[in-house]
Amino acid sequence: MLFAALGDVDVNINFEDMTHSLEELRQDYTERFFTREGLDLLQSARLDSPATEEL
Amino acid sequence: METIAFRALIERLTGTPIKESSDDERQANDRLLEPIIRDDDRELDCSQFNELLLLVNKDRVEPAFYRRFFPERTLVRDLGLGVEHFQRIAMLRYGNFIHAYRRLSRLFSDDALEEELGDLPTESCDTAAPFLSRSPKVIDVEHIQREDTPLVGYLSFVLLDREEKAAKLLAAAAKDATASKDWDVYTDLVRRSVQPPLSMTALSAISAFRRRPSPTIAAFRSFLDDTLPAIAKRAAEGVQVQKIAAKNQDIYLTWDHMDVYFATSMRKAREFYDLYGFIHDLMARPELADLQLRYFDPTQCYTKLPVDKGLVECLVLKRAKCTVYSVQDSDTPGKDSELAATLAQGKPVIAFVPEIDVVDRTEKLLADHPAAILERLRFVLYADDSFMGETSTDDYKFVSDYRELHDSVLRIPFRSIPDAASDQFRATERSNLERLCRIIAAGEKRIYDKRATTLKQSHPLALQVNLDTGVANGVLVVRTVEECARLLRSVLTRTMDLIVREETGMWCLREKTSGCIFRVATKNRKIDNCFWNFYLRNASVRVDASLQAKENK
Repeated sequence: MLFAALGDVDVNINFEDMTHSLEELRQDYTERFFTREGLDLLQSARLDSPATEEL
Repeated sequence: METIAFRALIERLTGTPIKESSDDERQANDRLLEPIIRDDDRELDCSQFNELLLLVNKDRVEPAFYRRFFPERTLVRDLGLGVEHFQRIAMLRYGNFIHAYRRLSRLFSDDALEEELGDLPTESCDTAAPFLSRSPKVIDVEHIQREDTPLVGYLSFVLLDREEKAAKLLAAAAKDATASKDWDVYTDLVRRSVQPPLSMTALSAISAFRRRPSPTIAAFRSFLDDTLPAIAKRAAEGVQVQKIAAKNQDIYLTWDHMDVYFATSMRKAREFYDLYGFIHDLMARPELADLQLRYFDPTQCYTKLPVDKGLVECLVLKRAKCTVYSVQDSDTPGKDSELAATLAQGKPVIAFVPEIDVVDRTEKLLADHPAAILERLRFVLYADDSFMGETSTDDYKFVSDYRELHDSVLRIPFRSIPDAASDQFRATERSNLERLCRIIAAGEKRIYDKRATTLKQSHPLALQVNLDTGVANGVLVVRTVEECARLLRSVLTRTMDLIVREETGMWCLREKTSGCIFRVATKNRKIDNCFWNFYLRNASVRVDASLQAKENK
C-alpha cells in the first residue's frame, strides 16, 4: 500500500508528540486528544483503542 | 626555459617574491642563470637545484623534499611539474605555500616528510585494498521498503495517528442518533469532542467530504467505515516499521566502519522516496559495488527522542569519512549544519543536485497524488524566479485558470492512505494534469539548475575551513548519480583528481569530476598572514614540540 502523506499537510505537531513512538501515540486515548464527551462517544462505539484493524 | 619563467616557478614554490637588492643584482643573476636553464633537456639534481635557489636568494631544500615533489631525473622543462605537485600538496595540507615550503623543505628524511603530510585525499596507490580486506558485517540492518520509509519520520507518523484518531471520532459521532441527521449538529458534536491537537484534522475531514457531490452524513459514515480499517492497518504497519527502524539505529551505532553520512531534510513523503531512490541507485553503481561500503541511511532508522536522534547523527558525522548532501527544495538548518560540521572536520562533502529531465520528471509527477502535484506547483510558483518569463503566455494562463486540481485536493478527507476519488480525478483530468506537470517539471529544472550554479560559483558557505588546520574545504557539486559514485569512490580511496589553477585572487585546487574548488590559497596577504598567525604558527610549535619529545625518548 502506498503511503500518501502529502506535500503541504499541516499537522499540528508539537514536541510532546515527537517524544512518543507511533505505538505509544496509538495507545493514547486520553484527554490530551479528546474531551470527556469525545471519550464517552468513542467508548460507546468501541473505538477507544488502537485495535480497530483487527475488528 | 626563460629566466623570467624560472623566476615565476621559484616564486610559486616558495610562496614569496624573489628579493634582489637592485636591478644590477637581478641582471647579474639572470646572466648566471640563463646558460644553465636555457637547455630544457638538461638534468638537474637536488644539489644543482639548490645552487639555483641560492642564486636567487631562496632557501635550499633537503633531498627528501626534492625526491618527493620532483621527477627522478628532473629536466629543466619538468621543473614546472614538480612545482605544481608541491602546490597541490601544500594546498591540501596547509592552504598556504610559504609555510609549506619552509616546513617541508627542511625535513631530512622521507619518513619524516610522509609523517608530516599524513593521509592526503590524493596520491593513494593501493586504492581499494582497505575496503576489500574488511570483515563482513556481523549484523546488518533490516531493510525497510521504499513505500514505508516516511513512517520513520516524525511528521508522517504523527499525521497517521492524528488521522486514525480523527476517523474514529468522526465514525463514533456519525452513529449518534441526533447528530447523524444534520451537518451543523454533527460538526458541533465533533468540535466539542476533540482537543486542539486533533481539531484541525477532524474538522478538515468533514469540510473535505462536504465538498463532494451529495455529501450526506450517512454517506460520510459509509466512507468512514471503508476508510478507518485502512488507516488503522497502515498505522499498525507503521508501528512495526518503527520497531525495525529503531533496531537498525542500534545496529548502525555498532558498526566498526562508517564511510558515508547522508545529510538530508526529510519532512515530506516525497523527500523520503527521493532519498531512498538516490541511495539505492548510488550504492548499486559499479564504481562502488566492490568496496563493501558502510553508510548511515536515514530512511532506514528511527530514534524516539529528537535529542537522541541529534546525538546519533553527530556521532555518525564524526565517524564517517565524508558526507553526501542532498540538495532539495530548500536549505534547512539541520542538514546545513551537517554540511558545515563535515567541512569543519576537514572531510569532503559531495553535494548532489539532481539533474532534472523534464520528460522523465513529468511522467513521475503524473504518477503522484494530486495533492503532491499541487504542492509541487506551489513550490515552483514560489521558488522559480523566472517562471513568468520562461513560461509561454498560453501555459501561464492555463496555470492561472486551472482550479480543478486545487478543488480536488480540498475534497480529500485523509491523506495517510490512498483515496479513490483522487485516483478517479487523476484519470479524468489526465490531459490537463500532463500539461501542468510538464510546466512544473520545467520550473523544477530551472530551480535546481540555479541551485547547482549558486553552490558551485557563489554560495559563501560552499567553502569553509577545517577548524583544526585553517585549510579551506570546498563543497563538491555533482548532478548525476554516476558522477556522484565516481567522485565518492575517489574520495574514499584517496585517488581524487585535483587540478592546480591560478584564478582571480587565488590559487585553487579544482576537483576534476565536479569542476568545483576543493582547496584554495588566497593571494590576499592580509588574510593569508592572519591565518598563518592563528593556525600554522601554533601548529608548528606543537609539531616541533612533538618531534622533540620523540627524540628525547
